[in-house]
Amino acid sequence: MAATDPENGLRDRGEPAIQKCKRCRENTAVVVVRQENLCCECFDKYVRSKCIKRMETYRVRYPDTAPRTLLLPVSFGISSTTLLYLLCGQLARQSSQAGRTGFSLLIVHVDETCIDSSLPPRSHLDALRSRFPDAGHYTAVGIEDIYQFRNAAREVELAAGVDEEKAHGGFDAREAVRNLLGALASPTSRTDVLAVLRTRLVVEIAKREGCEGVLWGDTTTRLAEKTLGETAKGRGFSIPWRTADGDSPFGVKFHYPLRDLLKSELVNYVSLSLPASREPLLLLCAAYSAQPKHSAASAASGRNITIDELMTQYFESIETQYPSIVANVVRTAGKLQPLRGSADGGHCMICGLPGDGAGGDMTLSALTLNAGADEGEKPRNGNKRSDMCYGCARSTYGAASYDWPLEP
Amino acid sequence: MTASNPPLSKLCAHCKTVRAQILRPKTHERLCKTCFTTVFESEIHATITTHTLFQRGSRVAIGASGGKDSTVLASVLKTLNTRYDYGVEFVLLSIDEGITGYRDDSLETVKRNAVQYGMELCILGYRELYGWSMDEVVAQIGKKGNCTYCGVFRRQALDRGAARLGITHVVTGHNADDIAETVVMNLLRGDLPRLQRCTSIVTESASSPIARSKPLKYAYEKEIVLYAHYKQLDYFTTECIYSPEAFRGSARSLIKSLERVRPSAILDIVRSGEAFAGMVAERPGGGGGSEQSAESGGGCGSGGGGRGAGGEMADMEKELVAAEAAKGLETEILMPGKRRKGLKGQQTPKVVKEQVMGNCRKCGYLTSQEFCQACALIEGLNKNRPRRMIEVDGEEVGLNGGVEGLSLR
Ligand SMILES: [Zn+2]
Ligand SMILES: [Zn+2]
Ligand SMILES: [Zn+2]
Ligand SMILES: [Zn+2]
Repeated sequence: MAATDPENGLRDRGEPAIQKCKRCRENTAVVVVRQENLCCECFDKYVRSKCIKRMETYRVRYPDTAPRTLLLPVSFGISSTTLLYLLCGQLARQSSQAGRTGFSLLIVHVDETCIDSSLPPRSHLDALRSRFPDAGHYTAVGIEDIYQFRNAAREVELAAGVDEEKAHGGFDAREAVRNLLGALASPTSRTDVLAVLRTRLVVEIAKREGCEGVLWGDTTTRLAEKTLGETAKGRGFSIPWRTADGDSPFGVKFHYPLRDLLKSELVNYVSLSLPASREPLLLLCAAYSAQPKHSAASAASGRNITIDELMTQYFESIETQYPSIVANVVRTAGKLQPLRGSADGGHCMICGLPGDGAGGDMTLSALTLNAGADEGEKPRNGNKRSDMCYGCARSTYGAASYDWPLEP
Repeated sequence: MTASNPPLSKLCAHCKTVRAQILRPKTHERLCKTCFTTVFESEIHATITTHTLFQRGSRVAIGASGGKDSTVLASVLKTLNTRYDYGVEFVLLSIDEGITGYRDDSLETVKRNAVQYGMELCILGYRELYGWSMDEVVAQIGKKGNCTYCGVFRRQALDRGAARLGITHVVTGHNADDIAETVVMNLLRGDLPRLQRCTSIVTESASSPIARSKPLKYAYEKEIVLYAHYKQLDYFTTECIYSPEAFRGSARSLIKSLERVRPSAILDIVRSGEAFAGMVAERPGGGGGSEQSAESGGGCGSGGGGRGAGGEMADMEKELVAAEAAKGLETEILMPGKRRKGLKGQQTPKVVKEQVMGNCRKCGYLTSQEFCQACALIEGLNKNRPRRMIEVDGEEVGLNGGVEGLSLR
């Protein structure tokens, strides 16, 4: 769809009228970007400028200070691969212009093959390293390495019912992660909690390695998906923490340098032979498949699809026709401020965010609802679930009746 | 996954004595009919008591359309009022929009309900109040955008009806699906003020002396239908023949898909919406008590997909592109200014004015303008000049009007 749409997309080479690029008015247009015909060079400039604008904070600083280290998680998908490419170019320019750089990168791949064996192996990181050898340090970690981080891991172990003894002798972290996710009631809960684990792992590594911040590859489209997805999962309170640039509650900064680019624009970008990269970046995107994971029919039936996937499908279906509406969702999300007083409410034991403290308020039926109402004030601290935010309580809820060790 | 304990699974999860007959839509619990109706009623009772919706000795109007939501609301309130001795006098208040084949039939239902529940009934018509029935409005302006008129008219009509009855509190049949849908719609439209207000259970606004509340706020549409079915309630099923807007349609189909993936999603969206209420910065000029009351209208009736009317999304896309272009010029001049938090510049320009409430010069209804919204619309109709959208009190009320479906469900 995206590739042939007249409003945004690669221009069909078979099109009779050869159009000139609207910006330089010289070259032949190869792509339509927000209703403008652009040539490859101008499209490249467009993409670069969107990213550079969001990286303002990390331009070369005077007087001379040590470059700040930023963690760049790469999933081998289109967005993070593009971001790596763009940042690599920015670093090269900084070096040649100023003789030094404003930041340095720690490129981290989180290997989740222990949960999904269809994912590309971590060895693919070598392909990135040989393509961008000067981008920074490269390293791969397993999602199960979350158990190496004491504080975060303790809570997760407790939640997973991993015994103290087990944690010492013969503890299999891969098995523990599988058990933890397997204990959850639905695919939606599993992807939800997996995303939480991934974020927390990246944050823990960033802190251990002294990184100032994390550069997430989220596009406009992805941020819009997240906004509605988090809303649908009862995590509305967390949207500022999950979509805004700047300080995060984890003590490292979060940045989204691709926030002004649409997913479909990146799909076009990686498919082209670029001025500085004759070989399309797509070849590096081992985790990307042009085939949508779910058919429209399976989305409609709600079978075997998660809320996150549903949102992906929704926004990818409207972004070509309504890119500004997608962008506007993200702008609106950006205007939401953290709940007043959320900072002193303690942090959710699962996601680690300043909780809405509302796990205990999670009402599902009259059975839970009236139990609270009869006792008058609900005991906030007495209730185990109030250690969680509403969204985490929801995602771990269904597990109760399926051998989840914490409850009923 | 659920089928792990064979013997018990046949029994009602609540009473554990009777065979389960229903898979409860909200929780996927297996319940017997009796337990389902009991649980459904006690959830509404809990909503009412938690929020202290009613005062003993007061008179409260039920916005009644003859549709399933308001009929179930009237029936449940009748039951609870007796069971828990609320000591409230409920009155049915109906608005006759003047839509042939829809409202005339549904009003017959309301009349029967009034007898069945032993409640007083008051019916007020658009024709009588405004000199225009909806059929006449549509004949003049066409089907597109008529929800604006219906919404503005109904909001005032309810207030006037309540005033006529000497009542200051109207309850409406908005259910959890409607509210979830409105949350999603306001995110898609980027309507922050409405996003802030749309989940509040009680809405009072400077522009209306009448408080409105939604006792069915946490009730699922599917369960309302089930309840009506088991109680054999007499309600009218046809939906408003004038189709809802594209944004609502798009939001509605998304909500339905989400519910299929995870039944709790509707409740979870309402919960997120409640969080948003505390996450929107106070508007400049203070107060934040804006003219538009927080109604999260349920569309005209709980209408179908509305996929046909894709125009609105396209219109909004155009507006946003234009705003972006205008901002682009401004940005060039301002550069290199540092921008915070990814919010570059303002959103679609929306003038936020200080709100000073006064009375409409024509009809006396509360407004911050010279004329109230209804009078402004009527003026337009009378001048034979169709208007698709109007800017009222710094807030655009074109798409939803906020109030349609408010009570007439
Ligand atoms: Zn060009
Ligand atoms: Zn949480
Ligand atoms: Zn039962
Ligand atoms: Zn007036």
